[in-house]
Amino acid sequence: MNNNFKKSIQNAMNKNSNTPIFDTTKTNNNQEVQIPSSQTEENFMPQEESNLDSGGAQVIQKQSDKNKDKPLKVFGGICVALFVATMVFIFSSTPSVNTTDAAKNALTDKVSTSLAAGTVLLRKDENIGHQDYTITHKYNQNDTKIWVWDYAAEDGDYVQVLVNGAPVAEAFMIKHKPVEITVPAVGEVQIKGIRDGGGGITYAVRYDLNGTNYFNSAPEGEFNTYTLIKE
Amino acid sequence: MGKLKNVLGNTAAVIYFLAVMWWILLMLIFVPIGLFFDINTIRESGFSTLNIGTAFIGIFGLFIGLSLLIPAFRKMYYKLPWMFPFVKILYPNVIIMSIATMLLNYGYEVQNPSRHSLFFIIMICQLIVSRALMCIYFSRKKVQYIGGDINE
Repeated sequence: MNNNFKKSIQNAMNKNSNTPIFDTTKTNNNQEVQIPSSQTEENFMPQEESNLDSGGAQVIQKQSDKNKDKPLKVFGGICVALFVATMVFIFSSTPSVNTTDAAKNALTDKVSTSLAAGTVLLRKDENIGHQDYTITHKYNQNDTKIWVWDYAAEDGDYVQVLVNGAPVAEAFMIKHKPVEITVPAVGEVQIKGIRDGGGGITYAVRYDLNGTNYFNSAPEGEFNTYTLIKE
Repeated sequence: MGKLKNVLGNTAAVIYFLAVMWWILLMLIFVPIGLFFDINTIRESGFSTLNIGTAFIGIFGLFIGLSLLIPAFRKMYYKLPWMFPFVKILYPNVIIMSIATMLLNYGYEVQNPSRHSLFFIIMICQLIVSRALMCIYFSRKKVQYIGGDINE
């Protein structure tokens, strides 16, 4: 009964070609059927059929409402999926602040051998003062690696690494993810503050030759010198 | 009972519209403009700015998504038939501008003029391609005119 009724409605709708177009609804066989949005489904039905089967009309009304809601639900689902994706992206790229005793000691001493490169000590930039260091080592090779990162807020601080006064790389934005640079094992390595993104240029540098992290800050236009001496 | 449910639903929709959607709709207009100014700032200063676009994608996604998925809130779209096309066109616009800003920010993380130019060109290409794809999509699949006919 219901199937016959649906068929008769579809036939009536297809015949009614001069109906004003306001809204479109896709039928199951992918055929576009024009339905005037100002009319209800019941107005659309042949009179005798609507009198005979008002329950069927209700079913069709519900189906029609579902079809109307479908694009909204689909787009809503995409929006929520994008929300979840952005949250995953934001939280996965934001490392948590290290609050262990080793991290607290590193903040006080400004030097640490136990923390890994990329350790974040502070949520916000704090001026911990800037300092030059002399590093005496027994490293055998001519070159060594250093890693530079922002140990506080990733706020757009820029630094440049110089060796004996000459830049070894272009100035770059320091982030929580360490940037690896190769420098000579003997000489003066300078880290110059290029741009303060706010709260001071806070950076940390780890030297492969002695496995030590130095937590430092460089004012804009000034630099910290690390003098590397081989024993 | 059904009538009470209707009244509660409508009240919730009105509250959500006034408390949340109104601001989201305004920000959907102003955020892309703000991101455009960010691009200008990056170009002029030569330094990256913060990637705030990603946060906006998330915030808009959450509130627009809730308004579309919760049946009571969805009534807004039937009462204001312009709202669905408005949101459906402007939200992708925010995403496109955010990606453009992210690309340029990435390029300006290193102070190298040729890298800056390269990423500026990539950003322009991304904007043109994304906008063209958006035009093709909306010309093929028109945003349905929804609403004005629900009797609630």
